[in-house]
Amino acid sequence: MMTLIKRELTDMSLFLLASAAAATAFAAVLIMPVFDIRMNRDFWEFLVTCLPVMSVVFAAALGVSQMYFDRMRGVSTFLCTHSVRKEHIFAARCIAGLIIILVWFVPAFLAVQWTFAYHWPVIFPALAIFHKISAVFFLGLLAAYSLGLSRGWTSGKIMPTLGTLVLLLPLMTLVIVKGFCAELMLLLAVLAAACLCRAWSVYKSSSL
Amino acid sequence: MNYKIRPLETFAVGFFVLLVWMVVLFWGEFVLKIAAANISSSSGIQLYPEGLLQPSLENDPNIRPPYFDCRAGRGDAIFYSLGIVSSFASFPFGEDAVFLWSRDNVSIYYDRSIGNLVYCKYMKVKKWYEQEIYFYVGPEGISKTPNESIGRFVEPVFSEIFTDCRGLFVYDKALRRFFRVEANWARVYPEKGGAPSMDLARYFYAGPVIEPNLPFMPVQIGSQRIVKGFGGGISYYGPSRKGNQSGHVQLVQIQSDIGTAAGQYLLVLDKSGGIMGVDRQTLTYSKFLGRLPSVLSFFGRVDNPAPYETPAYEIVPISMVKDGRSEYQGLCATVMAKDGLDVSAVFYDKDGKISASSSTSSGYWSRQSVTLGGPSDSTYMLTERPGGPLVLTIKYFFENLYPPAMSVASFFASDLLKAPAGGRSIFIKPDSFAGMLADTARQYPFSAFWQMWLFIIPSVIVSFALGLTAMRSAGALGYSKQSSRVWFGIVLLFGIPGFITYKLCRPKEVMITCLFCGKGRQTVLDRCQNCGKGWDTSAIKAPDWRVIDSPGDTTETGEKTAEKI
Repeated sequence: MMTLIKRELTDMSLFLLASAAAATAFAAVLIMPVFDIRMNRDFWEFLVTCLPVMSVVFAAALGVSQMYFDRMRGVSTFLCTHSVRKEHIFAARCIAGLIIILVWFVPAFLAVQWTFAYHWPVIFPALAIFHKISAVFFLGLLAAYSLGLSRGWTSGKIMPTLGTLVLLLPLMTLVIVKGFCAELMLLLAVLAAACLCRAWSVYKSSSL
Repeated sequence: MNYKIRPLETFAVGFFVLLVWMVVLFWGEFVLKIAAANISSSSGIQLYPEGLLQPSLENDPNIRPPYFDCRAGRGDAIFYSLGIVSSFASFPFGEDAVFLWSRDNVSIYYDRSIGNLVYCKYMKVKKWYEQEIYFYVGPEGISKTPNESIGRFVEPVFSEIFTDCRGLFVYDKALRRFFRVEANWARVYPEKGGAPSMDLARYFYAGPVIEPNLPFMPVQIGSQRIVKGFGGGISYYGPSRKGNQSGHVQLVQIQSDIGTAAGQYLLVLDKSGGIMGVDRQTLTYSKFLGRLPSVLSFFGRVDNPAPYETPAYEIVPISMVKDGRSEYQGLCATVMAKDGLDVSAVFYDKDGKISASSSTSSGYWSRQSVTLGGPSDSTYMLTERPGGPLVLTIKYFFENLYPPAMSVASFFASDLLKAPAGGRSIFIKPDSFAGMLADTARQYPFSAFWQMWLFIIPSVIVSFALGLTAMRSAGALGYSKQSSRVWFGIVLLFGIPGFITYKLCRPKEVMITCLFCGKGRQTVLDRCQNCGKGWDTSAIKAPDWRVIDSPGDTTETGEKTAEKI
């Protein structure tokens, strides 16, 4: 299994690198005010609001890429000739995807937590809402990634990209509709599970 | 071989399709709500309560009496219903709030983990802040350290803290007691930066336990006003005299002893919509002060609405200073209808009797009020205002795109969703026709139930037709009869999203035409799943002769075989 995960990570090395770079940049942007490093406030706000949205698209793109390139390059077909079962390939793919998402999410989370806890304790009750935002954000990333997985197993080029984007839009507006509440977390968790289930079902029933 | 429904995959696909469908419909409805609010010409109500002026000024034509200006703020209420807005808007106060007050790095907050109020100060040490906690407040008292002897609040409701107010009031729903805690920092710390007084007991007072049999269930308390979701809200304008200053006629404020305060009372909004006064000193129930006014929905008047039934309300008390003491004189309460169109306002005098009332609904205002602009209630706006019928038609069309199961659920579960949370509900719609009919169902339950079917009959017919199509298609594809019926049921309940789910979940078989029955048949089966006939193999019947070995085969085996033949 480790070999399969390593192979998936190698295949998705571009995403892994991009994820690490984005995480470092985002964490740096967040903790800049702590060290009195000044930045154009508009640009700072733009980064802080846009990066989470972009990262959701990034997560969906990651899922689509994993499935799309597998089908295009016949990776699963090749692996199945080496006494590897589809279950293992799919599980390794999901674990690799999760690792890439965590590489992006954890540094950003720790940076905000650290900044709130030590620099702005006067607004520390904001930590409560920050934890909710983080949970929604993480589940949103998972849901987008699962949606990408379920949409990526196709031979066309337009549908996996545009179709996923079109489906992501209403789902992203769920945050505006529901706010950062437990109900939204539940919805996103069920959505992630549903998309993952669909992705597995499509992948399992496809002839290699 | 018959196909069967795979429950997990069907649920996964169905949930995804339903969610996307309902989110898209939500935004369509949202735009419609904004459109409906904007076709109104009404901007609010002015209430002129009587009996507040001194007798000598009462009949003076040059005196403009005090009045309340109640602005509708409909658009604001619609935006306020969005979750993202209320997530941040309720940050200082509200249900999720823990943060109560802060100024100059001094904070009062409620710590859920220990169930105590915390008074603290933050000091910057180099780049970091350090917290210095002065004391904790629990239902049993005040302590400088967190300990169990002061108890824990269980379900606290807090009053707002104003800069000039002296008390923070707490009501605990589980303990059924009111508490008063000192909130004026200047009183707690007379000298800036000085140490707090050691006499902590004087900062805290616990009222008696409210009798369990008393039907008194406060949901919100306020020392100066009670607000939920109003954008414009109530503004009070004191009495004024027409004066001439610098050649211009100006209104000069007189009788400044009247102000917006609750006097000797703490305002308490009950679960039933009643507004009660609790004595600020003894923290005991004192008297009935009024109730939230009735509003008009599309299907009739909603009498005595409960707080959870309305997306926005505001209660502003008024008091007069007499002999150095502030005495309660009455209150103004406004309520917005669930559909965000009608706004009602009422003024209760100090004895809890209605002194003036008005509504933006057509043909309903009293002598002591002015409705600004034209009337505005849902019936009038959606049927008589320009653009109203179009909005109404589109709303009807949109609501018939909902799955029938969701419409029926909206009728039955409308009361379970508190406004404005109902406004951000994805699956159940309390502000749909079916949901609004549920408001009238208390008086006429059977009539409301049958009317609800009239409103959703198009979606039921469409779902039925799609269900039949899905059932026939499933049967032709090779689903078992039971599975085909289940598909019919799913599509009937969930309408168009159910049909899309069927289309996505059905097997992607390449079908060929059966030579016997003419219907599509699966290629992997020996017999047609429709007529039961096998394949027509007459054209590929084996010939009488066949070559067993190749002609040039001269091996030993080949020779023996040829001999046998």
